[in-house]
Amino acid sequence: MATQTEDPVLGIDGIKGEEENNKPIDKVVGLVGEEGGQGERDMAPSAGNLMHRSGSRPQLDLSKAAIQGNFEETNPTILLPNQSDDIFHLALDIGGSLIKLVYFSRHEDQAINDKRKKTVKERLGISNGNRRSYPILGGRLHFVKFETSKINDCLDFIYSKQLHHGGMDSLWHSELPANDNAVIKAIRHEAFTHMEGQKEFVQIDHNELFPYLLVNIGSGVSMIKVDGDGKFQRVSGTNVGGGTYWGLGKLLTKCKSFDELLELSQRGDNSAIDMLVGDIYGGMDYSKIGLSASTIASSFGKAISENKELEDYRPEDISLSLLRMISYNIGQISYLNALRFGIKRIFFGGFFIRGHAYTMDTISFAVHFWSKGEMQAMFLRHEGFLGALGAFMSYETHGLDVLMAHQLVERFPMGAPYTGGKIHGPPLGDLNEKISWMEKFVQKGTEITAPVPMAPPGTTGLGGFEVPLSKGGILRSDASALNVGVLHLVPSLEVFPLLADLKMYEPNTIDLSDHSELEYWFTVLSEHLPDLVDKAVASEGGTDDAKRRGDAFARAFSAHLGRLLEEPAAYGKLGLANLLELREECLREFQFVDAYRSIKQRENEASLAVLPDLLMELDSMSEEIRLLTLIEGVLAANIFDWGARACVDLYHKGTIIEIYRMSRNKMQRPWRVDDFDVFKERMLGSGDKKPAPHRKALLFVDNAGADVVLGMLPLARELLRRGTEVVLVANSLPALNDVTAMELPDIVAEAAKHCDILRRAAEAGGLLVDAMINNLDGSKENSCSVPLMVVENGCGSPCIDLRQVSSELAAAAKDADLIILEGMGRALHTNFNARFKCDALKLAMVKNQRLAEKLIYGNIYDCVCRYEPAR
Amino acid sequence: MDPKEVEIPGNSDPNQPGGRISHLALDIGGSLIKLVYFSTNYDADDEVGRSGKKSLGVPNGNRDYPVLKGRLHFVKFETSKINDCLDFIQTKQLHLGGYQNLEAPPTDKSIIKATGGGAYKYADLFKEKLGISLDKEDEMDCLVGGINFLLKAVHQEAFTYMEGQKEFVQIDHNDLYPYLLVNIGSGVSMLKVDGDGKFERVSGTSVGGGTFWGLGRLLTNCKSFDELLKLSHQGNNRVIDMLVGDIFGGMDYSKIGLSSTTIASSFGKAISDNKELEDYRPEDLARSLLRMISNNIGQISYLNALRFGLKRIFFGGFFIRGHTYTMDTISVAVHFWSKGEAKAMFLRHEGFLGALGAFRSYEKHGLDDTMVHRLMRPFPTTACLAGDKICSPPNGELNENDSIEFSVYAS
Repeated sequence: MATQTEDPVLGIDGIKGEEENNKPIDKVVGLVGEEGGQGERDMAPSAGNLMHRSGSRPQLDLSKAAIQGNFEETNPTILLPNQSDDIFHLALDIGGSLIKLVYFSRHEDQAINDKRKKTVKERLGISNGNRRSYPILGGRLHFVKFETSKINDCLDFIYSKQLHHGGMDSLWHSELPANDNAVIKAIRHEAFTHMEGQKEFVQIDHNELFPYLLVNIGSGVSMIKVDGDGKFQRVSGTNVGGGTYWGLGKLLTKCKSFDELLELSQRGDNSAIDMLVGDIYGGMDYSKIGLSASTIASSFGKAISENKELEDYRPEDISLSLLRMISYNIGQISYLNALRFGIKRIFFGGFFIRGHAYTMDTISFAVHFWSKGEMQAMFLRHEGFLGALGAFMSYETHGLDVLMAHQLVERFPMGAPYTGGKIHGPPLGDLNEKISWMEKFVQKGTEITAPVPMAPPGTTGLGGFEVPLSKGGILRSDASALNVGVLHLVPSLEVFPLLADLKMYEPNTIDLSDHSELEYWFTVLSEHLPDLVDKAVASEGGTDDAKRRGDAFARAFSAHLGRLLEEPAAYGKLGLANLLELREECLREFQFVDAYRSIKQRENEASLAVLPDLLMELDSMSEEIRLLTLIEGVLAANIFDWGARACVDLYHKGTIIEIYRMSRNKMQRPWRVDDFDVFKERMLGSGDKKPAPHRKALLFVDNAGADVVLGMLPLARELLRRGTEVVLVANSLPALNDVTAMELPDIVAEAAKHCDILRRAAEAGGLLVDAMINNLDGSKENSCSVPLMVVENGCGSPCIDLRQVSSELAAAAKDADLIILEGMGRALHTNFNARFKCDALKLAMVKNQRLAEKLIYGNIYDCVCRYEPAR
Repeated sequence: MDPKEVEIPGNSDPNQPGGRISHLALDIGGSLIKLVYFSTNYDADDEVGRSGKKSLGVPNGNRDYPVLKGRLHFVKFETSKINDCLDFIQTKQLHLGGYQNLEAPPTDKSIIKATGGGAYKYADLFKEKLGISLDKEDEMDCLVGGINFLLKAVHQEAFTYMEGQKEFVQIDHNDLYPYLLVNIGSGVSMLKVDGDGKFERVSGTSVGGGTFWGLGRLLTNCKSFDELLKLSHQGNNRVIDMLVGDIFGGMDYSKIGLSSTTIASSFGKAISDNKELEDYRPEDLARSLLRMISNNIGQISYLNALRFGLKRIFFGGFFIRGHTYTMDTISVAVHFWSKGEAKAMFLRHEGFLGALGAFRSYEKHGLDDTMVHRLMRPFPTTACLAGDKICSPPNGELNENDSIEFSVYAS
C-alpha cells in the first residue's frame, strides 16, 4: 500500500506505548522517484506482516573488492568495482515528533599514488590494513534528526545527499538491544553516569559488558536483560513510566508539554506534598532502619491530611513530587531486577531520560539509594538514535556489526555548538554554505547560542512513545543535552599493541574535569587563535576567500569552545587531546589543509642546511658523550613548537639556528626529570658489559624543522648505526607544525645525501624513491643496513591516543623493543603516564609554565627525559 | 494457679468506671490512628461469640484450668481527626485501664502503649488532653508482633484472593517462616520475617496508601479514603490508562506474554487527549490510580520475595482494608510477575497489626504476663472472629467496629 508523501510518517503510528518496541514491525521504506524529493512509500501492512522481514533490502556487491590507496585520509577505502558508485546506507526511525536518520557515507576518493605506503605495506605484510578476512567500508556514520512536522526538510536532505540511491530501511526497534551493544562497544565515551549534575564517562571493557539491564522509559517502562549480541530477553517492566508522569502531570498542573512539566519540577519543593519520614516522626529520623527525616515516606501523602484543594498546591511542587515518585520507583524496580540476575550495570534510555539532567539525577539517586552504592545508573549519549541505529544495523552486509571502538573517531561539525547536535537544519552541502551559515550564526549573536527550539522528544527504543507536537516552540533550558557527532569509521585503526594495560590506559594526562584547568586551556587556545588564523589564511595565499574561511573557522572553533565551557561533557569525555584535535578538524572543515605548510618547509630547509655540520660534530665524539649530546639535541630542538606561545615569541627574536644553539647551550643536567643514566646503561652498558642493541625502535616525532632534522634524525641515525631498525612515526594529517608521514621521506632523502648511514638505511626501508626503482628487482637481503622506515600514526592531532593508531603502526610495533615519544603533545599532554611492554623513552621540553608546575613541579623550558624499562 | 491472678486488672479495679476495659494500645500512623483495646464483658452482640464458639465445639468445660473471656476491639480514626479519637478514648475511659493501676493510684498518669510515627508527634497532645503518657514501641517490632500473633492465634486469619474468590489458608506454624510482610500504610514497608522478633526491613516504597488517597483527593475531590475506594469500584481504567491493546489495535502482544488489557502506561492516555481533568470521570481516575498503585506494590513485593527466596507474601495495612479490588490487583501482580509461583496473602485484621503488636508489648514489661502469654498460645480453637465485618469506616462508632472474642486460660 502506498500513501501520500505528506503523511507517511504520522500515518505509520499514533501513540506508541511501552511494548510497541519489541515488536518487529518491519517496514521497508523504499524511496523511489526523484521528482523534487517526492517519493512513494511502501509500507508492509502492519497486521499480517509483523514478523516478516523483507528480503528486498539492498545489498553491497562485494565481488572483486579491493583496497584502494587513499593516503591523505587515514582510512583506505575498499573499492567495490561491481557496486554502483554512491552507495549509502540509510536507516530511518520515524516518530511522531522526530525523524531520526542514521546514514553511512563512504569517504571521497583521494587516489594518490604513494610509493612509501605501498612499500611499508609490503614490508609489514599488511594486506588490507585490517585483520578481518572480509572487507568493510571505511566511511562516516551520520546521525541526523528532523522534526517530523518538517518532513520535507528531511526529504530534501535525503535527496541532496543522494542517500536514496543506496539502501534505505526503516525498521521498528526489533533489534534495539543488539545495536545498543554496538553503541556501547563501538563509541568511546558513550556511557556515562549522572550524579548531582555531574556527568562521568565510563569506559566499559567489551569483555565485561554483558550482561546488562536495559531500561527503556517510554510511556511505560521495559526492562531488558541483554546477554550478548542479539541475545536479550524482556524480564520486567512497569506501567508507571514517562506517560504516567506526563499524564498525571498534565491533569494536575495543566502543563502543555512534557518539557514544561519537567521544567516546573526544578522550582518545586516536594515536601509540600510528600509525606516525609520527618513529618511522621515529628521531624526525627527513623534511624533504626536508616531512614532520614527527609526520606519520602509517602508520595503525595500530605495531600491527604490538609484541607487543601488541588488549586492550593503549586504546580512546581506537584511536578517535583510526581517526578520523584516515578523516577524513584523506576530506579527501585530496575535495581531489584538487576539484583535478581546479578547484573551490575543498568542503562537507562527512552524519552523520559533523553538528555534531561533532572530525570537522570533522580534515577541515579534511586539506584544508588537502593543498591547502597553498589550499582550505577548509566546513560548513553547516542540514546536517541538507538532505534534508527537498530534499523541500520539490520543491514547484514555492511559488516558494521563488528565495529570496535578503536575504529571509530567521532567528529563534531561546525554546527554542533549551536544546534546542540539536536536537530538538523537544511542540508549544508558545500563549503560556501557552511561559511554563510557561520556568518548567520554570528549575526544572530547570543540569540542563537541558546539551544534551538525543539519539540518534545519522540519515539525511540523500547519504551517508544509518541508525543503529540507541542504548539509553538519551547526553548529548552536544559543545556545538559549532549551532542552527537559524526562517527568516522576508519577500519584501519587499531589499538597500539605495545600498551602494557589497555584497560588502565588514559591518554590525557591533565584532567579537564577540573574547571580551572579547563578555563586555563580554553584561554590558551583562544589567545592562540588569531595567530593560527593568520597562518592559515597565509597558507592559502591570503585571498579574500581564505580570509572569509579563516573568519568562519575562528567563529566555529570559538563556538565549540563556548559550548564545551558551558557543558564540558557535551562531546563526550573531554581531554586536552580532544580539544587540540577538534581545532585541527575544524581547520580541515574549512579546507585549511595545512596552515603551517610554508613555515614547515622553510624550517626544514634551514635545518637540513646545518645538519651535515652537526653530524660531523657528533661523529667526532666518543660514544658516551655522543649519546648525551644526541639526547640534549632532541630536547633542545624540541623548543621549535608553534603550538607553544612562548616559542612563538622566540621565533620573532632570532633565526632557527641561533635559537637551537642557544637552547642547546642551556641544556644543563640534571634535567627536571632525568633518567638519562639508566637509559645510557641500557644502551651502552657499564664496564665491560655491552648490552645487545635494540632490535627495533619506534620514534614518535613531533615538529618539522629543527625538531625532527637536528633532534630526532641524528638520534635515529645513532640507533641505525648500532644495528637497531628504526621506524619514524609521524602524523597522518597535518597538525600545527608537526611533521607528517607524507613529508618525512623527502626530509630523510635530503639528509641522506650527506650521510651514508641514513642513505643505506633509507634505501633498505624503501624511503628513497630513486633507489627503490634501482633496486626494484634487488632483494632487501642485499642491503647492508638495517632499514629506516616511516609510518603514519593514523591521526591528525598534536597528541596521540594510542588506542587508535594506524594498522601500519600497529604492524610495525609488533617486534619493536624501544619506543621514543618526543614532544609535549605525545609525551606530556598525552601518554606521560602510559606504560609499555617494551622500553620507553619520553623526551620533551616543557614550554608552558602551568604544565611545568603541574606535571614536574618545575619551570618553563625544563626538560623531561623519562626512561621506563620494559614491564 | 489461682484464677484471680489472671483476672484482667481493669476488671478488678473497683475505682474504674465501667470496670471492663483492660488494655488499650495505639498505632498512630500518618493517615490513620488504630486502636486496639480489650474488654472482658460481652456486649450486645454477644451471640456471635457464643455461636462461634459453639460451632467450633470448644466447650470450656474440658479444660483443666480457668478461662477468662474477653474481647479485643479494633477501632480506627483518621489522624487528621485526632480529636475524635481523643474524645472516643475519653468517653470510653480507655486510658484509665491498664496494668499500672495495680501498683499506682488511679489518679496517677496512665501509660499507654503506642506505636507509629504519631506516637512521637502527638505524645504531647495525649498528655495534655488525656493526661496519659504514650509508651513508644518500635513500629516494626509491633508490626511483626501483630502479624505473628494473628497467624498463630487466630484461626482463618490468612487468605488468598483471586478473581473474587477468598480462600483461607491454614498455615503450619512450623512452616511459617521466613515470609515477607508488606505493610501498606501511607507508605509501604517490606519486612523479611525469620521468626518471632526476628525480622529485617528489606525494602519499601513511598508509593502507598497515602499516595492513593493524596493523589486521589487532588484528582477527584473525594472527601474520604473510603469514598475514593467506592468510586474506584464504578470506574473503568481504560479511559485513562494506555493499554497494550491501545497500541496494538486490540491484539494481544503475545510475544512477551502481555494481553491486550495489560496496562502499558498508567495515565498514559491523559497525554494524548485534549482533555482537562474535569473531562474525566472521578470513578475512572480512582480506578486507574488504584490499579497503578496496587500493581506497583505487588510487583516490588514479588521482586523482594524473589530476592530472598520467600514463597509467602502477607499484605497488610489500611490500604488493603478488605477491599476486594486492591487485593485482587495485588494478587494479580504477584501472580503475573512470579508466573504463579508466589501468592499474595492477606490478613483479616490488616491495618491493626501495629496496634496489636503494641498491645502485645505490654507483656514485655512483665505485667499481665500470663494473659498475653495465653493469647499467644497457638490454640486456634480458643479464639474466633466475631463476625465478618473487619472493615470499618473510621468514624469511631463502637458498634461498627470489629472485635475478637478470646478465651484466656490460666495455667
